[in-house]
Amino acid sequence: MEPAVSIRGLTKVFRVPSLKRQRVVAVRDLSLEVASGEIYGLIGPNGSGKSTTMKVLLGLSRPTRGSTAIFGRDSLSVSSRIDVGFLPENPYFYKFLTGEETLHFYGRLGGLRRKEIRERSGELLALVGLEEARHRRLSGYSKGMLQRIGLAQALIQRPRLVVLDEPTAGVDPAGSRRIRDLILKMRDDGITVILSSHLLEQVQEVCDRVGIIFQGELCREGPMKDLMAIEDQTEILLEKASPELLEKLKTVIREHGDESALLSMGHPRTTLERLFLEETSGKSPDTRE
Amino acid sequence: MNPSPSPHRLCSPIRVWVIARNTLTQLVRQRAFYFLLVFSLVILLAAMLIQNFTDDASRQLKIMKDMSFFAMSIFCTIFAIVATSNLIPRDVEDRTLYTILAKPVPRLEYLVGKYAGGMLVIFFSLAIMTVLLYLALYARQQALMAEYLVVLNRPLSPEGREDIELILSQLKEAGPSWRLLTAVLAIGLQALVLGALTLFISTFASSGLFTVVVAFVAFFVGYIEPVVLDYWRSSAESISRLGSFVSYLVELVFPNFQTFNLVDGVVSGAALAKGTMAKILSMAMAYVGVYLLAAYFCFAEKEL
Repeated sequence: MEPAVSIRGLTKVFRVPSLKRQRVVAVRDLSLEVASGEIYGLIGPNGSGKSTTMKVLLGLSRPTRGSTAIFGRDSLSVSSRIDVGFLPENPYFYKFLTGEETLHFYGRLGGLRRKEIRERSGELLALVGLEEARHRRLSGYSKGMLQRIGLAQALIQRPRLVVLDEPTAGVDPAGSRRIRDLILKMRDDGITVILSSHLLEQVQEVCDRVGIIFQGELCREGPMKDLMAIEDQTEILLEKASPELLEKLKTVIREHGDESALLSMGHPRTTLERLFLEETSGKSPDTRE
Repeated sequence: MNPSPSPHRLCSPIRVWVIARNTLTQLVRQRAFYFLLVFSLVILLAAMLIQNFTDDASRQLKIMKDMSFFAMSIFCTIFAIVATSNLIPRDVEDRTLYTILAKPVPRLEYLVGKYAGGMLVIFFSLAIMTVLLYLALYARQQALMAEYLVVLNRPLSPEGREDIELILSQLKEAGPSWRLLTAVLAIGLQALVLGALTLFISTFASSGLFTVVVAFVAFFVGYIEPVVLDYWRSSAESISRLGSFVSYLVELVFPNFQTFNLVDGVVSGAALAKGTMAKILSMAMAYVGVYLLAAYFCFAEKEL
């Protein structure tokens, strides 16, 4: 099956405007593939080359060496972007447009007809929870609302690939959770997602595979479960276990006699995000692994 | 049925129009049209106060036309430079450009759409200003003619009657006519050239201020270039090949903006030389084409 994204030997060098003609290697010989329908997380510190990789993938920047392709089409060709939706970091869409006008504008650019845009806008505004604000200008939108209208514009022409650069940057936990749920909904709809984020916990929650990029190089890559698993340790999670049962378990482990050892036993902790949401919304959000 | 994108075309007039219309909305909602309000006030004020400047009836209409064309020219020149200088840099700065070019939109379409949007504002502004000018001019002309017709109905000496009839015929000549449109068109064409030049500069400029300053300098050079070069050619004893080449280059790169100044001739009632409009039109189109092409080459290679 054709990969959604294919990056081969990508190197991107920027010239620094100075008398010495300095050059900065932003991405060095990076290769990766993203299968259709998966959520791929690209993580790394600031300046590691994540955004540059995304820009080259979207044809906004030219590779110095190597190539990138979307569903088999070279990223440099305009037609490769028919199937792509993009949400940049801290997007500032046209503030003089209303939410509905914004979707209409991007829908027309995406090649949709007026009638299709009307239908699709309605669906998307409902999906991102902005139906009430559809006639309000974006200048009156909060940060979280801007991110959500950004997601809606990225999805307007039903792309098969969505690229999200720090989609929850500056958004409060409730808004962040909402965006996370939208990303999971995209996967359910069969959309491939490439996600770059500093919020590692969020990446861990939603991504199927992860690539760690550092100083322009892909250091580690693989399925989330493989990367996160500690091979020589096992976790057992019990519900309503009595102290007697726990004592029995400890005894069994002790008496087993091989190298196995009990490292810890106690109550699992909730996340700060979950606690925040419980306190502020009055209801517990669903937990997803 | 699920909506689906229509087949992608390499150059789509629809996408260009969508970007142009969006730019038009942007400029209008940013209150660029407030200048029009000022303009209409100037015209109305001029129409009311004009009788205080001179007793000469046809001269009153001439001053009115002069003032209006001056306002139109100033508006178009400033707007073409200042508004166009920010169109692309602001989209880059706000990252709006990323979301646009991440859709199947070629950079040429974006560039042409932005330019067309800016020029549409000038077109509509000029159209409204022209209508206002015609209305104000017509109203003043009718008021003046009514005054003189009253005088004409009184018992007059033959010389006095002749004078009044002469004034009435001069008023008829000085009123609104199709000839005024040639001056308006020339102002519009000059704005088209200036807009394209500014857009080109903005594709490689480091700041909006730099773009505005360079564009105004280029406009100034283009405006004085024929006078300076003529003087230099007539006063220099001998012109070197290099000097000749440089002067030719200046003439080629900077359009002669004096060519677009038809206002004086039109207002004074002088006849336009044959082929003037064709010359201005072809010159404007050639410069717009070259500047937009140059802008595209700069913008196509731009790292975003």
